[in-house]
Amino acid sequence: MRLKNLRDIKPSLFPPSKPNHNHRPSTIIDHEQINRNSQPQLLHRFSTTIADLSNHHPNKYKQTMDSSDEENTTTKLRISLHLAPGVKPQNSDGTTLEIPSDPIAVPCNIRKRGLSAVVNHLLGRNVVNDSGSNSDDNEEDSLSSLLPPIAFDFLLSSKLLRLPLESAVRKEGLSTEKAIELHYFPARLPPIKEGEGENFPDWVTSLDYTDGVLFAGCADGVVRSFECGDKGMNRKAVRSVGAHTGQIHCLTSIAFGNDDSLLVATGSMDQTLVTHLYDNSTSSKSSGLDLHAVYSGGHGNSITSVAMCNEADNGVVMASGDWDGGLVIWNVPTSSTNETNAEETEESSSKRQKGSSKKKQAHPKSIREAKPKTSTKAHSSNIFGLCFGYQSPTTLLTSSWDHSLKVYDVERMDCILTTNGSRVITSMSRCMNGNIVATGCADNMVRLWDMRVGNGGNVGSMGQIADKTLRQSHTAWVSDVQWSPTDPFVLSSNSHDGTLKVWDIRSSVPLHTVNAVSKKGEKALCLAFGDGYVYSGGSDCVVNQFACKV
Amino acid sequence: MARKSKIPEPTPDPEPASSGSDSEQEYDSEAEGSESNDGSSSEQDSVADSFDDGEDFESQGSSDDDEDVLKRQGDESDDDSFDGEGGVQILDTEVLDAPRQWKRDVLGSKKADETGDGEKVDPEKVKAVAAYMHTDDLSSDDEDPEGINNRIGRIPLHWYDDYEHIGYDAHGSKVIKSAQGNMLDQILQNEDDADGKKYTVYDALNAKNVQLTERQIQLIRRLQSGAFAHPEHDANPDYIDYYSGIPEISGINSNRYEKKSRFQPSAFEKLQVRRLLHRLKCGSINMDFLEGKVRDMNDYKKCQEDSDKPFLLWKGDEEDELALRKGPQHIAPPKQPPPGHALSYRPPEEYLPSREELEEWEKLDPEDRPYGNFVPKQFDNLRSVGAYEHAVKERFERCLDLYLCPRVMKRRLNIDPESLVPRLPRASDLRPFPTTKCIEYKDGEVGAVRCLSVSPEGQFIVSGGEDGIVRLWEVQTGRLVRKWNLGDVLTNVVEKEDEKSEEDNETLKPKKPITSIEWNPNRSHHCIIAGVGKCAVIIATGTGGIDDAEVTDALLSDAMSVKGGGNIAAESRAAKAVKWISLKKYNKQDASNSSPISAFGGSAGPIALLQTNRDVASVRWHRKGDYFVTVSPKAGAAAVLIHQLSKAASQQPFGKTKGEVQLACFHPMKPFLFVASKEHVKVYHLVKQVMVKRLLSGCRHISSLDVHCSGDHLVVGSLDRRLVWFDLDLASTPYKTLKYHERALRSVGFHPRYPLMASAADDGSIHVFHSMVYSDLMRNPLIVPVKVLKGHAVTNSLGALTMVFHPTQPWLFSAGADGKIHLFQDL
Repeated sequence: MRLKNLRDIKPSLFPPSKPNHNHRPSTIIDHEQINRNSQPQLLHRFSTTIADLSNHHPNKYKQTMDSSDEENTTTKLRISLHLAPGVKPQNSDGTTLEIPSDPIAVPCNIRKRGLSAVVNHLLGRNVVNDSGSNSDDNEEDSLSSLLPPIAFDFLLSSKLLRLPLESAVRKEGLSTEKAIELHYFPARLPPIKEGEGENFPDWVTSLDYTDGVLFAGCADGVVRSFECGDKGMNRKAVRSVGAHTGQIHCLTSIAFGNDDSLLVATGSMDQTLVTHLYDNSTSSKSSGLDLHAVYSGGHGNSITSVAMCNEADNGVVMASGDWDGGLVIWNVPTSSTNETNAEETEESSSKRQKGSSKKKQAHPKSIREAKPKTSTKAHSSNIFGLCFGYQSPTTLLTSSWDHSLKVYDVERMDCILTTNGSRVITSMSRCMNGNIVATGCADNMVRLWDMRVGNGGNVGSMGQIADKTLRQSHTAWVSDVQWSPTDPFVLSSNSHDGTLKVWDIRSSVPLHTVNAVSKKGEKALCLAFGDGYVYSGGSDCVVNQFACKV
Repeated sequence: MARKSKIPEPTPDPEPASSGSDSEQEYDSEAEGSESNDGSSSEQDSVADSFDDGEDFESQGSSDDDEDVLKRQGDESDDDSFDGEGGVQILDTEVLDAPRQWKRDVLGSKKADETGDGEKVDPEKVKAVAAYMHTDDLSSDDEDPEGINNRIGRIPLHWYDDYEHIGYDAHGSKVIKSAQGNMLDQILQNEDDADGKKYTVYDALNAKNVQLTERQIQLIRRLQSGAFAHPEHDANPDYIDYYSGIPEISGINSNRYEKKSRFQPSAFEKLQVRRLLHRLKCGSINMDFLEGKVRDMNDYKKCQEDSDKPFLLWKGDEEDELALRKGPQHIAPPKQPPPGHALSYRPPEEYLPSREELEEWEKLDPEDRPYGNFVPKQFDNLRSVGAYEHAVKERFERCLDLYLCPRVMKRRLNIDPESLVPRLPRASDLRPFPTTKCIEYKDGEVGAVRCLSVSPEGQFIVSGGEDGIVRLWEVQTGRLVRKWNLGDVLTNVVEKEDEKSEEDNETLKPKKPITSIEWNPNRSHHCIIAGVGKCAVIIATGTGGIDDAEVTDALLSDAMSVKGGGNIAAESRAAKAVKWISLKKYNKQDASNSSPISAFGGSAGPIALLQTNRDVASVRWHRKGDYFVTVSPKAGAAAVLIHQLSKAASQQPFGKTKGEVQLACFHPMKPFLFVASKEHVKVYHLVKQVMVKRLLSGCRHISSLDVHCSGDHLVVGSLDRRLVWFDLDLASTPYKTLKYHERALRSVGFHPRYPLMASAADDGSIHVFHSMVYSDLMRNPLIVPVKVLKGHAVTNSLGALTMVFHPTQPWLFSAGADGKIHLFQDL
């Protein structure tokens, strides 16, 4: 029995139980099995449903039953369904998601969608998508009272079920003698495009999101910020400041200070690195993005990556990498310090470009010039990915075009671990709750690395990650990879081919693929996760917003 | 051979109880002891003791036992009265009868007689003593190991009487007579000897005294006493009665009856005999086999058969004849085709010619006719077939063919053509190499892109094309960062400089394509040189950081402020050939593009311009980024010019050049300059200013040239589709010539790090090779084609015009006449 879609399931799911029928109905759920396991209330509900349905569709079930003898011959597997750990048992609308975990028999070649229908049925929900697939008017009437179905995803030994059940079980090497344990959880919905920002004069090359504010760095050197609420971002950039003369390569933001101000650092092709202060509270000031500090003397090449981290003593440490592989650690000057030498730095930084000097004239007091704390040549080629280690601002993960991934100790400024890959790494992101790193590579792949393992290496030994690496899915350079800030299994990537993909690392194929650019042929260059949204920017000069909900 | 002179001399008795008379002195102490102390038990005990001592010897020698001893003891007492005189006499006679008893000895024997008187020899005692002394070997005293004895042989000794020597020893030297002492001396001597119990005899042959051993004395005594000479000899052994005469039954089972089968003929033997008889009757064996003359009947039969067969009488002669035959190897004549249906006496209808066909047949030349002179005809039966009229002639011609036409054995090589192809490693084992097009660098409508160059770090590429615009791209994102219109610059400059020369203006009006461009290979020199029209333009990219910008500015400062055609000595050749023009004053029109990329980049945009007499075809940097070479092929002797950027100076290395110089390029390590004309490449040593090598490419028109980063290999591409690889250490002829492109090659290049080489051609394809150059000089470079990259459309019969490798990654940039620039990367 092959279940192509839910329509195939439905008739056999609700077989008539009229006494005059001698045939044993063909079901996905084995009645005898349920009987044996003494589920009175479930049976009761089952029989009533069946009775209801059979009243309406006597002809239909007759047809089904004619072929039921053949279908009985198909082998079945016993499964027991559990709600995945960590999933709330209550849905957002208050209904429960829990079903009894007693074993039931299902056809061996059932897939994710069939199992999803089973769970929906056991939850008393409508098993049919209300997307008009059902043409029968009577049925719609009868089922209108039921709740809409929920799409579920299933975990088989902590890997997402993507194959027919039997093949997946065989691949896992599990025994079919016992009931197979499947964990289910509501599937992640595909990202839905929910509008885009205003059209900028130049490419959007970097994005970052912190505390309801989305920062976009553009190729014309301007940093723009959007306010994002529950409904998504403002269409128009709230604030913008010309930070650089050259193209902005990298941008990162962090909550700064005790008030709600944010610090945004940008590194650019023009070899400058600056931080701006985004003050949430100030509405009086004309520009909410004030030049905070200028970082000079560390780099002799284009700055390609920057990362910031809060230190224990309320300070902020910043790391930046340049095209030549130089890695510089900076202490971000806080507002309380360096007030005295502000004037001095103003003069000393007179060499800088015009855009900055304008800012400087407007707010001369707030500008500081920072000198590098330490600097080293970490890689032989440009560093395209920097992030601080999980819960430890002293370790720094760096990735580079020289194919290597390194872990640096910030305080000692030496390399703890070097992992050599074979491809150019174009971006890197760390998992929200561990030192697992995803890299986007120039060979169109997204790779996973477990930096906790002593010898580094691609993730393979981890129980939770499905395949050694994620399968190739993009068709051009992966330009950015970001890990979801809420879900440790979900990451997103976009590519020069203009697509945005959402991955679950428990499966080697992407969950969803959407087009991230407004025109064909444009490149998606950057990516940021917001609260329930994913933002993507690219060479189409707009910031696209995607609702990305569970 | 003891010869005695004074034998049996009485020996003095050593015993204290010995009698005083000399004559009674006995030879043997025991004999004397027993004689003097008759019946003395103590003496006998001592004698018995002595016998006991000698028991070991007795047991070996004879059958003496205790009884014998007792008997002998008894005999001692009995034979006390034995006459010793007789013994001496016997001894004397015996000595006299000895064959070598000579005259002189007689005297001695007489002497001995005198002395030997009265001596009494107890034979039993002698026997006992002999038994005692039997340990001594009875070796003769003839032995003469020293060879000092007389060797005269058996001749009468008196022959030597008159001489003072008595003969000759083994060495041939004379044996001198020993001085004969007088009687008194002899007596004294005898006295001494007797005291020492010594018996001395005179050896006449050797003329010396020989002292007798005890054994000899005993023998003598025994002989004297008439006993057997050897004391061991038992003359009267006890009789053992072996045959008692009483019949006895003895032995194991000797009283049993034997089996009957013992006396009956064996059944098995009978069977064997019967079998053999049967085989004899059958003929499978014969009597010869039974008698053992024939071992194997099969061989016998074979021999029989062979002998029956007829044999070649002259066998062997034939082989000789074959071997002796000289001349060419026999070649069988070609066979004539077997007769087909047409030759049948009754061929099928379709073989019979119609009238028209016959007429046609008549017209044909006899050699072209289908069956020669034969015309198929139909007969009812074979009988009615007449004689073939051409039979004799055809036979004759066939014979002529066979005789007159030389036949040659054609050797056909049976070689699998696949096996001749060298075995190359699989391309998939030679990764990484560029395989996939991944980024395209687009900027609207641009003409054909003629040249590309990558920045040393691989961050940017610059392209120059037909429209005279230099474009600077970011590699990673494909973003166009800057563009500089050199055509405009050129027009402005030349208009101002040459206002009067109108005809020059005319020629400059059409946009000049950028023919060549190269990024400064020095990492801290951020500038580009581009060849456009008659000029080479130096462009500052403005990508340097703080430090590099200063270095670049210092490098460019001279060129920026150059006046009067550059710092060239006025009288030098180069002064006429090239003119440096600073572009400082023309730079204002393009503000957006003249701003540097880096915030610290200093100046950016075109800095200076070098005007030469003719169109510049190629510009190449020296690896240190200060010198560069420009080539203007039509400029004759001033075709190759070497410039120094930091001094804004130029020089013309060659006074005259043969042929049209196409390209020039510096050696990556040594002070060499490669100058390619249309057909060959010359290598010049720049310091010594001599030509080092002349490489013959075998091409007709060299279009491109690149030097391997090791400096030992050179690859040349030509318009006649050839790619030529030179190993500079090997020879001036190509190491390999490859011809695989369908159209003219436009660009060849090595990867600076990976073992990769690529060539771009007008067929729009780029061939990528794995080109491993080994540091081991004995190994030839390995060239394996790994990939054909296609991505450029052929427009105006021009395809891929240029390609360049990324400096750090196994990537390849290519540009073509269709105006596209692609990045190919490994996947």
